[in-house]
Amino acid sequence: MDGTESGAYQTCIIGYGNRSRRDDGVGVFVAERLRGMLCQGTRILALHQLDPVVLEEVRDSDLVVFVDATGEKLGSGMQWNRVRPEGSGFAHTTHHFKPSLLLGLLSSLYGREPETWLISIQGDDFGHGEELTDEAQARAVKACREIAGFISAKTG
Amino acid sequence: MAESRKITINPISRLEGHGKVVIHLDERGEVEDARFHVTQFRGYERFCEGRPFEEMPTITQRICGICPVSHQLASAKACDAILGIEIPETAKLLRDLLHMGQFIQSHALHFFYLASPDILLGWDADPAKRNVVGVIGEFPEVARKGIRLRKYGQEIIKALGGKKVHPAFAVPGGVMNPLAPADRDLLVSGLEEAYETARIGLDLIKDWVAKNLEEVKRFATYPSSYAGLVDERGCPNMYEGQLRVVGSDRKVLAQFEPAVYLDFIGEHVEPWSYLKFPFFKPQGYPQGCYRVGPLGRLNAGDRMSTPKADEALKVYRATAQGGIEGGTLMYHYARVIELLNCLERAEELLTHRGICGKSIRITADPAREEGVGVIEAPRGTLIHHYKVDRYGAIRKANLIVATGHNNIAMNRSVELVAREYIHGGEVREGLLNRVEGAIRCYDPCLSCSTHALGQMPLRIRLYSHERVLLKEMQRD
Repeated sequence: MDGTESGAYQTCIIGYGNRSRRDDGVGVFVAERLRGMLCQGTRILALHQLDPVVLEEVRDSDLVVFVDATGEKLGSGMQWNRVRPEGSGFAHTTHHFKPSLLLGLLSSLYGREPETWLISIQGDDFGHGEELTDEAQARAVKACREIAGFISAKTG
Repeated sequence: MAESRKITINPISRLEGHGKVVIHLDERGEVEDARFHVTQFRGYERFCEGRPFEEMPTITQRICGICPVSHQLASAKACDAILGIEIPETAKLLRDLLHMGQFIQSHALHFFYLASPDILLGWDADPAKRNVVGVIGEFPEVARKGIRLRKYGQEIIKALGGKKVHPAFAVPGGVMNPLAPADRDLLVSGLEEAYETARIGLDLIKDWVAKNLEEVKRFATYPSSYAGLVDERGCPNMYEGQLRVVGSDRKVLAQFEPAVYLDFIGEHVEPWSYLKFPFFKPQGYPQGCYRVGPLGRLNAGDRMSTPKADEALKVYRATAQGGIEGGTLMYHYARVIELLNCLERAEELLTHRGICGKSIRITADPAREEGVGVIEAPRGTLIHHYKVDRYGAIRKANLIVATGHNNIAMNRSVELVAREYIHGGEVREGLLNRVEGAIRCYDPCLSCSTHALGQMPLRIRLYSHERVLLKEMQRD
């Protein structure tokens, strides 16, 4: 865990995805639901996509949690992965800045390497529409509980 | 017998959408034809049919995650025309301000993240490094400032529409929310840093053009017409005005109200691309090729509407006397001048006495069965044209986006690069970088142009005259 010069432990949760593509919006759903569950000190962002401006949002954070949808079939419907900074593998499209690349850029530009996690939540339907499938919504609710518990343990 | 060949580049990197380049060689191995294919299809115009016209600003902004504001505003203007109303002054100021936020964030992203690797690192830099990561490694301060400038533009959008992407703001008859004085003050306080960053960008591109005049003169360049909205003084205007088309010598060929665009603009269809090919009707297809976007606007306009940008334009035009006014690479220079212009316009709007007014929307019943809304999106002229039935349901929607207007031009640019880099069937090193770079000048948004949800990458394929695939180039 990185300390901060100001002494206050700062947390940022970023849920991202396209809400017009059903389960692709599960990260945004989680972020919005967490707003009512976490203390005000936790920064929560609901984004359409990751772009370089996210660096400005997380530059002072000690803990960053990304939440995104995945088309992969996951045993428990979701997966936590620790994100390590990546200095290469730049995505050719500006729509696809990965958390690992952002973390790499954060290190290069601001000299910061906060503890970072990516929570991937399985989606089943990525067609047009704004409603999550029942299965994705259930996984999202479960993810919210896990994230809230995780943040609570980290911040005491 | 010498065989002809075909080259394909796919996907093109640092664009918004999916693209593919196919190059056909003749029997001598010389370039016979080069085509920039857009391979997405979605049929947005068709599925809007039957929807209430009031929903269009919300529906059509979902075409794109990059320039949703432009679609929302063009759509709202088309709806205003159907209502047959003039929106309140404050609503117009706020829409214009939202639009400036969109330009600032979009142009900042393109210049500092998508174009700067070509400019700062060079065409032939290692592809693994010739990207924003490489720029950050070599020029971290430029990269940091570019991020903050994009953020500033997004903050304008958020202050008005509640969020940075797909804001809920422009509606038929006006806008949803007034601007809070506290938000106005916050935005004003950010202007100084934003100007400083735009200045850095301007100095970078000015120096680069000065050092690379020969390449700018030669690269993917050919005479074309230009188009863009101009105000009553002949200045490029991003929000409203008349549509002006000028020739390659910048003499006015036509200037007309956007509502009669069909008298001047036709749309050609080629079987090999989902993207249509708009052309200037009086000249026919494909002779009626014109370019829109930053280069189109600056060449169509007489001068800039704001002082700092107008000074920058004078320097630009003095440089352009070397014969590079229509240089495709000049898009980058023009884009930064526009960035400065949009910051100045944002300042004008933020300090306008009516910007925090409360009269922001007029409601009315439909008065007309047809409405056209035209706006300058960051990438160029954007046209929304709706026809409705007596209940206000959309009967027909026609959307012509910037990338469409530039379609003929992008194809020509690709062909010119190919002709320079392929001879006798041999492909010189650097073809892929330069084809990508040529297309990138136009900052195309392929998602918008086929009205598809955004994704984006390029591939080059080389085919013989017997249509045999000989070579394929693609980055992973």
